[in-house]
Amino acid sequence: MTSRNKEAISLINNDVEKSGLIRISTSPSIMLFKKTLFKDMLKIPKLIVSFILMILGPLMAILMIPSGFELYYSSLNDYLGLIYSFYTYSIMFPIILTVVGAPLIAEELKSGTMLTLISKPISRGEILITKYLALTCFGFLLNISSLSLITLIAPLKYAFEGVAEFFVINLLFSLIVQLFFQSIAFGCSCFFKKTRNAILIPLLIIIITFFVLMTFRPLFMYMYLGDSEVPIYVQFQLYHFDLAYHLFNGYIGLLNIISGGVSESMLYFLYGFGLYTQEYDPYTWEITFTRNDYYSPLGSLILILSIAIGLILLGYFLFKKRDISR
Amino acid sequence: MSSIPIDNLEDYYIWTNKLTKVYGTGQKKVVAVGGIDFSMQSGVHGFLGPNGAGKTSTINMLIGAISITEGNAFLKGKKAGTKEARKFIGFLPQDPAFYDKISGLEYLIYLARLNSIPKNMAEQKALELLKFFDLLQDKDRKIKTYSMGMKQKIGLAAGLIHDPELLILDEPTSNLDPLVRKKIIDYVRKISKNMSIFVSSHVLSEVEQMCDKVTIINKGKIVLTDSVQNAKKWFSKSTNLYVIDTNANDTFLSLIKGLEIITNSWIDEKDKKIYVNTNNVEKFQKEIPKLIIEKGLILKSFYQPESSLQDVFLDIINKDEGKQNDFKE
Repeated sequence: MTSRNKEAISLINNDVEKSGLIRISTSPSIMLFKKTLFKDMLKIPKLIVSFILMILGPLMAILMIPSGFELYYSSLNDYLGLIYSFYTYSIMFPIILTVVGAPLIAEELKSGTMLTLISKPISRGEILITKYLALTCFGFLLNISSLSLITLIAPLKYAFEGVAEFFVINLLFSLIVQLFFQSIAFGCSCFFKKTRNAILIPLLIIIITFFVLMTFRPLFMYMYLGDSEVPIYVQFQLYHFDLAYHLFNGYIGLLNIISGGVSESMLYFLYGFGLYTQEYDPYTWEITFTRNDYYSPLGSLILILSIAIGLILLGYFLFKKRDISR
Repeated sequence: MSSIPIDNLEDYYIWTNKLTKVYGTGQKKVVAVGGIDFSMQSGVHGFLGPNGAGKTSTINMLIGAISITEGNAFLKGKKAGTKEARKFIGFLPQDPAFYDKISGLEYLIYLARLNSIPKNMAEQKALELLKFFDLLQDKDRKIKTYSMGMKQKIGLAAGLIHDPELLILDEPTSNLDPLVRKKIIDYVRKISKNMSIFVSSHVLSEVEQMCDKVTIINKGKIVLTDSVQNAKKWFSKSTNLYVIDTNANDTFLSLIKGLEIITNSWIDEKDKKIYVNTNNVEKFQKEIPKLIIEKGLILKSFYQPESSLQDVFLDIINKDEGKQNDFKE
């Protein structure tokens, strides 16, 4: 308040403006990033619960291996890939990203703190980018720590092969999942003023994609309408809108590149996501899987990335145009 | 006001030109601010108006919280709502919101850092302000445990953390009890010695205590911009109100009641003096002293009173409402 302090601050600000390095260290965006990541997200109880939820399924699968038992699948990804890609990356990780990410903008809009924040010399675009990056860091840290732990623990319990392969496949797949679901959560956060709604929509997408469609997809894949020669799933080209199909199509692409193909254990699982059609021969009791390549893995990946980028841009334009008041 | 050359805009803390805010479209269209022109240089500028007049919408446009439908606004020559304009303003919203889970000290440091103040300087500044607002002993308490008054003080401190050149306060005393109100007004008066303040309120007595200049807004239109003193003088003149005090006010009131030049007269309950509205000032000033002498009374005082801002405000708003009603009819 004193004129001496005023002078001191203006001197510092002048120095700050002259020196690019100092400007970075005192940038409002960096402060907002630190506050969002360390004060809002990386809170011990939240972190512990998220971490436990991420590792619970795979950890139980590892602990359940009886001592001295010879596993049918010796590759770590063949044994754990299914539970990791479904339980961890299709359910827990998206839910955590939604619960943590959806309130980032909506909560500040609802509580009114956004009004104070936007009165500071930081643009709305910077607020969004900073918060999105903080969410990305949170998701990445949570994922890499839980995945590393599982990758380290699993070989202690059983002499698995392809440990590094498991780590790389799941890490890359998690990045796709994270980008997609955090973009949905973030887009909803910009759109809805009520946190509850911002959380509800991504949760509904997760439930529909990985639970409801999991039940109904096989029906659509084997039911025919009228004289149609193709099942409903193909007739109405439902695969275009099937998020799980596209996500796991990307997963197949990763398996092809890193492992050289899809293992038998994965086929039964991926069949559930519309990626394979199952045919049963009653005479030989043999089950054959035919790949449903409606999209190439790269095509699905581009589609997912486009949706994610589209949602972020939509959120950005909505937030930029939004009137913010108490 | 819109004729001010663009080169001189930096001389004005606030300068608006046909500033308009319209909410909704079609039949749901609501004009919150209807093309207002006003400016503010240094000092403390009050922004008065009844609830729903457009005060908060105007302030929110100035800080860039809501979009401007039409017209423009500049803060020291910088377009309102831009990062450059926000650098030198401090802002206390009406009913401010806080991150409840952080302490008062942490909150102030956070906001200081958002204004690019280095960490050590931010802490020093935060502590200085906490001391100024008598919150030093509560600096480590979570803001959610603060009382309403304490929250308002921490909000004010937050607005001051980067030593802004202009402090914008939106209804700083609303929802506060009289004791805390007085404290906040005292703080604002202290702060006003070091910076310019733009304060909105519908509590007239407060604006009168705090401000040098006042702009009155009603139904999204500016109805008066002037110094508080001029506004009061203008009111007295416009209503031709006079105060007469004699040794027998009751007798004299009965004498003047029927006169043609008197439109209204009464004895004030508080000061027991005669208040008179006249329709002919010149004749009134000649006739009244003459009448007092003729009746053998003693004239103690005869003057035009200074009105309170409350009188000015109510008169202007009532006239404005009348005008708008006439227009509707």
